[in-house]
Parts: sequence; structure tokens; C-alpha cells
Amino acid sequence: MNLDFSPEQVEFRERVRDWLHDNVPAEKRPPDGAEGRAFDLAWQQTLYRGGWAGINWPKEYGGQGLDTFQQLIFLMEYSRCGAPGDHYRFNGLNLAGPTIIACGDEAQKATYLPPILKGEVIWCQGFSEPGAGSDLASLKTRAVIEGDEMIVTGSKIWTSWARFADWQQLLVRTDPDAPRHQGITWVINRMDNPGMDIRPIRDMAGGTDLHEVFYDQVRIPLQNVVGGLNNGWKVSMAQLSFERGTAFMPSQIETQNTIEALIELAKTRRLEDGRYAIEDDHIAYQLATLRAEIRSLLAMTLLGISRNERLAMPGPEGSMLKLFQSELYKRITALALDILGPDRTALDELAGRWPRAFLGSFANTLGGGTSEVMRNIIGERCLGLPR
Amino acid sequence: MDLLPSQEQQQIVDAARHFLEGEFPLADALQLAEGESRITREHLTRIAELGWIGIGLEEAWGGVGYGLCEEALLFVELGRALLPPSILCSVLGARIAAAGSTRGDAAEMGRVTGTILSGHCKIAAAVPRTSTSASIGDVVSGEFMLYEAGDADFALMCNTGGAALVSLSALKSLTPVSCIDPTLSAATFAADAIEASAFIATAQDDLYHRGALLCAALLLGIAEATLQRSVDYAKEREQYGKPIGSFQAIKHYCADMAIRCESLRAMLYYASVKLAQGDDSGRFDVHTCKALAVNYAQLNANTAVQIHGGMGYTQEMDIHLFVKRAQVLAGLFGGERQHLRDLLAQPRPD
Ligand SMILES: Cc1cc2nc3c(=O)[nH]c(=O)nc-3n(C[C@H](O)[C@H](O)[C@H](O)COP(=O)(O)OP(=O)(O)OC[C@H]3O[C@@H](n4cnc5c(N)ncnc54)[C@H](O)[C@@H]3O)c2cc1C
Repeated sequence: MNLDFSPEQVEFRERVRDWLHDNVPAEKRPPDGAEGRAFDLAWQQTLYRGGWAGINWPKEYGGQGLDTFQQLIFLMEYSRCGAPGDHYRFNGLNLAGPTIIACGDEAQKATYLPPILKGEVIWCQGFSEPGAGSDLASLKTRAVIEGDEMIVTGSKIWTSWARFADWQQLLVRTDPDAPRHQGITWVINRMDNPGMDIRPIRDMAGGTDLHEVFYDQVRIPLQNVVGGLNNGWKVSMAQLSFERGTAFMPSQIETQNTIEALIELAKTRRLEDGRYAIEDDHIAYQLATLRAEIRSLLAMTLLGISRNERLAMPGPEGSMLKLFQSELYKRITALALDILGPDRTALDELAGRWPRAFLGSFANTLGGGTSEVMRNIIGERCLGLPR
Repeated sequence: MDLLPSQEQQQIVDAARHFLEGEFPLADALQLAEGESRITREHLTRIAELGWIGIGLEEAWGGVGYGLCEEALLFVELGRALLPPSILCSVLGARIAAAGSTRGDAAEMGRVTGTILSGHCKIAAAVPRTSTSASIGDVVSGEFMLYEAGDADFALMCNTGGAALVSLSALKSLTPVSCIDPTLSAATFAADAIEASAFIATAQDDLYHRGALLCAALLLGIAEATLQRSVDYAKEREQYGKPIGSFQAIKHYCADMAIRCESLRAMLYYASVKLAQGDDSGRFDVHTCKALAVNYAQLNANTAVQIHGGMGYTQEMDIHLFVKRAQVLAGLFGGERQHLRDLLAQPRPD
């Protein structure tokens, strides 16, 4: 049990800190849309030029090939200094890219990986369908093989960033007669492919980053299939194992930043009765409880990383961290509105970022697997309870 | 950076669990008369022979010379086995006596340190009933709740200012209380300027935070034991033709209990390292750990009753003992509210 870093690691931390200090953009990321896309790509290009793109990706594809502890140090410094979040870069960096690294062939790796790190492309994920949400394996979007192409017809929903993306990781049913987990294929699709219709959906926080995507006889070359035909379920399950260890560091620190900001807010905001919010016992109790639980989130992240290093296999902590953190975030933003009192209804400067954060927080316990599905996974896979 | 126990630390844990399961099966606790202690004087000397009482004490003082981390790991196992809080008092009491032996009545305190470490001295926990009226120093005053006074030699009392050992013979009128935890005896007493046998100020050795951390470790033991029992029962008990663990209502209770265990264990490790290092955030992390421990151990133990159905409500199973012990430990070394107030008052931890 120790939290020590070696002199080399400490020296590495200094280098990271200095570089970030000199390079993190001062201006805020513009809201979503074309400007957001341009900002995200420009920042990725800066990271690439500075030698900090793909810190855990292999060197041969433009990554830095750093070890777990260097990743940890990098991510801690990165998140602490308020560097831009992943936003539209999320899918390429965290899901599509690592999947291609794990399951792609050499040509696919050479073609698709470098542009992600160089900040040239945005990726999206077409998994969910109107009839296939939590029960992803029931997906119906059909792909018929014709020569060296597949022809895709069907529809996807909840595709984040679809109309700002260049490429897409798409799950299609290539064998309707096989058992449902065995007839699915993971394939790379270009978002400007003819036959696609992309319609934005307005979410409850006012954003338009979610989409419905319709496919009418869309042709995709078979060489874009990753991990083999009808093997898509296994390929997409491999993604789950990327969401472990250091993957949670940024959002963990972001949650800590949020509770600290809320504590500051409570020290300066007055309640209807004239007291500062933090002087109210009920509010103070909730703030302190959240601060404690979020502190343990840091400890859980470090324990998870230690376990991965020791056991070299994914532990149960991935689903636990996801569930714990997303539920905490919802509680923080709900408490923020309580602290704001009557101002809570203002969606402008009067109440700051909090009301929108409250509305947006509902996404966290739905996207990436709902809290209920996470509890099923913990119960069945970690505790061995029957289905 | 490696937050997991080292191989040597894990050996301490494994050996402790093995010993406790063999020597103190919980089934035995169900046979005891009300207020009868789970450990006799003879048990205490056997525990002392294992080196547990001096595990974290410096060798120069007659201890084993490990640190706070090993102590915390051991206390998780003691909590799981529901061993009584007097062992925690012995561990802390040895530190008070050892420090006392370097001052005033050196010879006497040196002798006391020896008897504590060899398990020939039993120390009862005295919890201030109101922190404002209690004054703990070389002279002790205030109203206290006392656990395991029966055959104890000293009472240990502690607050943020320091920790004192008071000879039990100096306490005149104990008023017995029927304790919620049937394996512990309890009494109240009022101290009016009683001279302590030894006192150690927090500035010299921070026993308040050390005690709070070890108490959190005991509570983690409860949180984990009740999770384990619940999961086992959910796999085995059948209703509507299938194991109750296949019902989501039960499965999701278990999942939440598992997250509480993971969160608390991680926090215990983290806080142990930080406090042992004397880090700025060490105390913040202990406040965090104890506050979470009180909350999570209670939630897990209480949920375990529900998962066990009618059987959970009986004294034929041991679940009720965990529920009750969690209530006792909730008040030792600062309650949840106190620790939450303290952690909120601190600046942002690094
Ligand atoms: C902000 C956001 C972004 C997203 N981005 C993407 C994306 O980029 N690409 C993509 O493919 N998908 C994306 N999704 C979709 C997301 O993965 C699904 O919303 C999620 O899997 C849930 O599916 P559903 O919405 O159909 O809800 P349903 O599955 O219909 O669930 C409805 C309710 O039933 C519960 N439920 C369902 N099954 C069970 C069960 N077995 N046990 C207990 N309770 C159950 C759920 O927990 C939920 O409360 C996104 C979603 C959100 C909210």
C-alpha cells in the first residue's frame, strides 16, 4: 500500500505540467456544432504536435506508448489544469480507435488510426436502434453481402455527433438465421456514404448532438469489416475492457472539480432567509456527503489501476465506477439547484452553468449502459448471482 | 504507486482471517448470554501472543513495528469477525501508556504498557455523551457511555484534543445500561475531575484520527461480511421456483452493497497511507473514511436483514449482530455528522 511516485515519474509530471501550462487554450470551447468540431480537432492537432496524442496507443500508429503510471500522471495533470474535454473526439480516442488497435488488421490500423491522433477526423457510434437499447443484441439493421460489399438497410438512434462525424463504427446484422449474438458484424462506415439520412434529435438540455440515422441500401466495402464477419458482438464487447483503469480518471477529476465549485457556490449564495447556503445544515450535510463520496471515487480509481497492474486483467471496478460516478453527478447538480433557490429556473448567467448541468446529468445514467443494466452486470458478473 | 496490500501485508490478513474463523466462529456468539463478552481474558492473551495489540507500535516501545496500514488491514478482519471494540482500545491504550512511560510515572506506565501488550490488561471504551461537556486531559470530566467495563482495568476516552487512560477503580458509580449489542455490556458514568493515569495530546500522537480510521476498518468488516452473507443467501434461498438472487430487487440491493464495499475499502487504504505519511490531506481523508464507513456499514447491515427475510429478523442468524454492532461503532471516535462537518470545513484536498 503506497502512493509514491519514482523520481523519474515526478520528473515526467513536471514535463507534462509545463507543456500543458504553455499550451492549454485560454478560450472556452465553443458550444456544440461546427465550431465545436473545429475547436476539438485543432486541440487534437496541438496535442499531436506536442507529442501527447494517444498516450496509451502503440508508437507505430502515432501514439506515445506510455505505461499505466505515466498515463495516470498525464491524465491527472491534464484534468486538473482544466484542459479541454474529449467532446467530439471521444469516440475515436476511446472506443473506435482502441477497437481497431485490438481487432483490426494491419491495413485498417494504418488507414484509420493515425488520422484520429492527428486531429483529422471525428468518429461516431451506430449501435443502438429504436428496438435495441439495453438489449443491444436484438439489433435489426440488416446487411446483405453482395460481392465485396455489404448493403445496409435499417435505422440507428441516439448516434451522438453523427452529423459532425466523418466515420462511424456500425453494428449490423449479417446473418439473421444465426443465434442473435452470432450474426452481428462490426464495420467502419463513412458518414458521407450515399443512402444515409441523418436527423438531429433535441435533448432535454437543449442540445442537438443526438441523431436518428437511416440507411437505405448503403454500400460498405467488406474490407471495412473489423474482426471478421459475424464476429461483431465479440468485437464490441472488447470495448468494455477499454473502459477500465485510467479511462475513468478524467471524469473522476471533473466530478471533483464540480463538487468543489458547488461548495464555493454555497459559500457565496444566500438562501431565501438571508443565510449563506452552506450555513444550512441540510445543505451542508449533502455537500459534505458528496465531497466524501467523490473523494472515495479517487481512491477507487487508484485501487482499480493497482489491481489492473497486478492482475493484468479487467476487474469489476469498471461498471462500479460508471454507476457510482454517474449517480453522484446527478446528485451534485440536483443539489446545485436547491442551493440556487428561486434563481434555479434561469438558464442564463443568473444561475450559471448549473441548471443546464442538471438537465444534462440525466444522460449520464442512461448513455453507455443504464444504471439498472450496470447493477445487473455487477450482480451477475462480479457477485455471481443468477440471471 | 500501488494501493493494494503487499504480499507481506496480505499474509497478515490471511493469517488473521484464518485464526479468527477458527477461534471465533460467529455461531458461538449466538450461544452467549446477554452482555457476555465474546473474548475472555484468556482469549485476550492469545490474541496478544499473535502480536496484534502491538502490531503498529514501534519496536522500541515493545511493539511489532509495523505501521498504520497493517493495523488497518487487521482491523477489517476483526470487524468481520465482530470482535469487541476493547481490542481497539488496547491497541490505542498501549500507545498512550508507552508515551506516558517516557514521562512522569515512568516505571508504572512502563509496566502498564507491558501488561496491555501481553493481553493481561483489558481496556473499555468510554464515549463522551456530549462532546461539549466532556473534558479529556490529565484530568477528566464529563458524562460517558462505557462499553465492556465488566472485567476491564482501564477506560479509554478520546476526543480531538487527545486520549486518556483512566483506572476503572477511579470511576465511582457506574450505572448499567442494557446494550443494543447483546455481546457488549454497557454503563454510563459521570466523571468529575478524575485524574487520568496517562494522557497523550493529539499534537504528540494523533489517536483521535488513528482511532477513527481503525473504527472505519471495523465497519468495513461489517459492510463486507453482510454483503457476503447476503450474496450467499440470495444464491441459495428459493422462492417462486428460483433463487431470490435472480430477482432484480434483490440483485440490485447486492450490487449497491458491493459498490459501498469497494468505495469504503479503497478509501480505507487511501486514508491509511495518507495518515501514516503525515500528509496534509491525511486528516481530511480520515474524516471522509469514517463518515462513509458509518453510513455504508449501516446501510449494508440493514439491507442484509431485508434480503434474509423473516430469518433476518431473528436471533437464530447472526445478521442482527452486525446491525447492532454498527450502531455501537457509529458513535466511537466521532460520529458521521461530526466527521462530515470536519471534512467540509477543510480546504480542497490535493
Ligand atoms: C446522451 C446519450 C448518448 C448516447 N450516445 C449513443 C451513441 O453515440 N451511440 C449509440 O449507439 N447509442 C448511444 N446512446 C444510447 C444508449 O446506449 C441507450 O440509450 C441505452 O443503452 C439505453 O437504451 P434505451 O434508451 O433504448 O432504453 P431501454 O433499454 O428501453 O431502457 C428503458 C428503461 O428500462 C430499463 N431496463 C432495460 N432493460 C433492463 C433490464 N434488463 N433490467 C432492468 N432494467 C432494464 C433501463 O434501465 C431504463 O430505465 C446514447 C444515449 C444517451 C442518453
